[in-house]
Amino acid sequence: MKRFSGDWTDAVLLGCLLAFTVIFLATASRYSADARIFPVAVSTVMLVLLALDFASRQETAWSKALRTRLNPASVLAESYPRSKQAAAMAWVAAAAILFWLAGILVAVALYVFGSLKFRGHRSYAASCAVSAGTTLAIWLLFSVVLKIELYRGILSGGS
Amino acid sequence: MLHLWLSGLEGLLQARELLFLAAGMMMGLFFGAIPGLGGATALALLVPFTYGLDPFTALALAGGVMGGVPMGGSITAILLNAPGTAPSAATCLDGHPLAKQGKAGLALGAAASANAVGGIIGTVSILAILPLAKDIVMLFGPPELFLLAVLGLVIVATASRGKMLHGLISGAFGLMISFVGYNDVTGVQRFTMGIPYLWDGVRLVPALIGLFAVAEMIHLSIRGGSIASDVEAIRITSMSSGLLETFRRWRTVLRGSLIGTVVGAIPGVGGTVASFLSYSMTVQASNDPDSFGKGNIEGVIAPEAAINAKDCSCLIPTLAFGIPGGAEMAVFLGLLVLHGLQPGPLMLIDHQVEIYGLIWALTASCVLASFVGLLFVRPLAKLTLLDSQILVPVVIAVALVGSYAIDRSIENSILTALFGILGYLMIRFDYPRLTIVVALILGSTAERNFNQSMMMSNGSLSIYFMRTVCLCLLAILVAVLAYTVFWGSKRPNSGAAAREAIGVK
Repeated sequence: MKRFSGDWTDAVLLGCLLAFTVIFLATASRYSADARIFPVAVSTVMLVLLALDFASRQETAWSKALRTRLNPASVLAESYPRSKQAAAMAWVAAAAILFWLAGILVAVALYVFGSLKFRGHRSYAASCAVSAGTTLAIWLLFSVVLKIELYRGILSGGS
Repeated sequence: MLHLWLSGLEGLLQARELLFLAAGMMMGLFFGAIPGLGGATALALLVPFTYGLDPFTALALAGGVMGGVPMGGSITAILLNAPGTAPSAATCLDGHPLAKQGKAGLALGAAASANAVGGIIGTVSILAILPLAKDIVMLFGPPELFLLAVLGLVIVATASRGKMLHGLISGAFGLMISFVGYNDVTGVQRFTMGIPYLWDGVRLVPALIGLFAVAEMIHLSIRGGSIASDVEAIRITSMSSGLLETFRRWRTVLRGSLIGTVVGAIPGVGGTVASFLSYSMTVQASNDPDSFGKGNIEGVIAPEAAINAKDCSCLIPTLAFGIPGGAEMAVFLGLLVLHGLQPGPLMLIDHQVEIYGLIWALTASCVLASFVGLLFVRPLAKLTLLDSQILVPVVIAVALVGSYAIDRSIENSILTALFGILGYLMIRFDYPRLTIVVALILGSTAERNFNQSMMMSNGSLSIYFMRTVCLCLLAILVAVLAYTVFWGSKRPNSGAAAREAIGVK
């Protein structure tokens, strides 16, 4: 095998999937025979599939043949800057953490304002207006109309 | 049989159901018109709000959404060359050239009537097929249901053209996630890492909201910008002649509708294949193939008829076997599960009135959306001016709150965010998301039926080789895999190439 044909992020992804599968398999082996038979079978199949994926990404003739048979059209969707992609995912993770810590209404207000102001580079007035409008709409819809008690956040004693 | 049709229709013709149907249709038009959103996102956001509704009303609402989306997608495809949904990309090929020639009204009118007629033909087809499907599913016991689940996963994985290995990997990954929680055969908790929230398994609806709504928003926020820049320059005239044009080209409508019906019944293939296949077969059947791509009205009618006919026939594998026909149907399965309607053979027997009500709702929505869509052409086109930087945080906030609202659990919101990130990574690394959803839905069914089969045969796998239906399913499984590995990779992906040509992902 000469070298890995994909981007280094492909290798990281394959590594993560492999680690997940190995941990899953090790965990499954602790259960009774009836409880583990299906998870073990699926994770073994997963290991074979990952091995095939890894093999198909090498720069050799047989790897190219394998790639043509199994994954001919698989390509990276688009090439956006990695920092931009990481930031977009981090904002979603931050929103979830904010929901958990500060509660829904505060989190919605802060998240929408922060997204517009710091990611979208909108003015303070526009960011505040959209943030307030969204928070109000969510409060009206969920709290008033649907009568759902919105989570208050662990910082405010929510559980 | 007739009384079931009428009971379904009667159930739908209540003021409350009609109101929800109309609301769903408007939402479908709205989401269908915005590229990047589409039916799966609309349904994913809507599911939590249906929690307090009775199943019939929830199905009317969902039917409204699914019927409205194609028309919304067609409007922006014709006017702006920006298809709201992937299947509408085929409509761009001739619809937008017509709009540029000042014949936008003709194209929109033809698209609307083809949508409506396609939906009606699709309904007639499913009404004819459904009684047969009911007889077939009665032949299925645990061994057959296990093999069917495996076959469903493999078909969905291989239907993602050119991504078989990635499809199978995401399917296996989805199965592994589906094993988390209480196992109803052995009665043990598995893979919960001591987290009480996971005792009931990974909740399907929050996961679906993440995989579709949040992941699409992450993708949209990275792409950035608004879809279109100049909506004011559009001129819309002669819509009535467009409406009549469909009836003059009845062969094209019939061909497109039948293609849509057949393709829709194949799990995982989806509307994009139906619309492009209908388009290419219409080109092949035409006496003037060179006129296509330059503004031939049949190039609008053929894909539009196929898209709506497909929506009805997609219900067959979705309801009868729990194998969704596409992303939209995958989310729809989540809605069914939330309302205690477990898809599978028994659904065709125990919930016939609801099924017929849904079919009527879908048909009514197709027809209504076609004409309501024409009334709102300009405002719907203006939706494409919405800046993604404003749209994204608002939709993500609503998705996270909606996920919480399902059972008042903040862990749902966290799960949605995690699956949103996972969904985006799957888009980024070209892994089909539909397979993971099918695996999440079918995982426990497959395991339960596998265990029951083993009990029936005292632990021998020979049970799968001694039953006629099992042997047929195994033969199909081998044929699908062999075809994909040995022949499927050699065929050009014409749909993808055409979408690429007009800049649609």
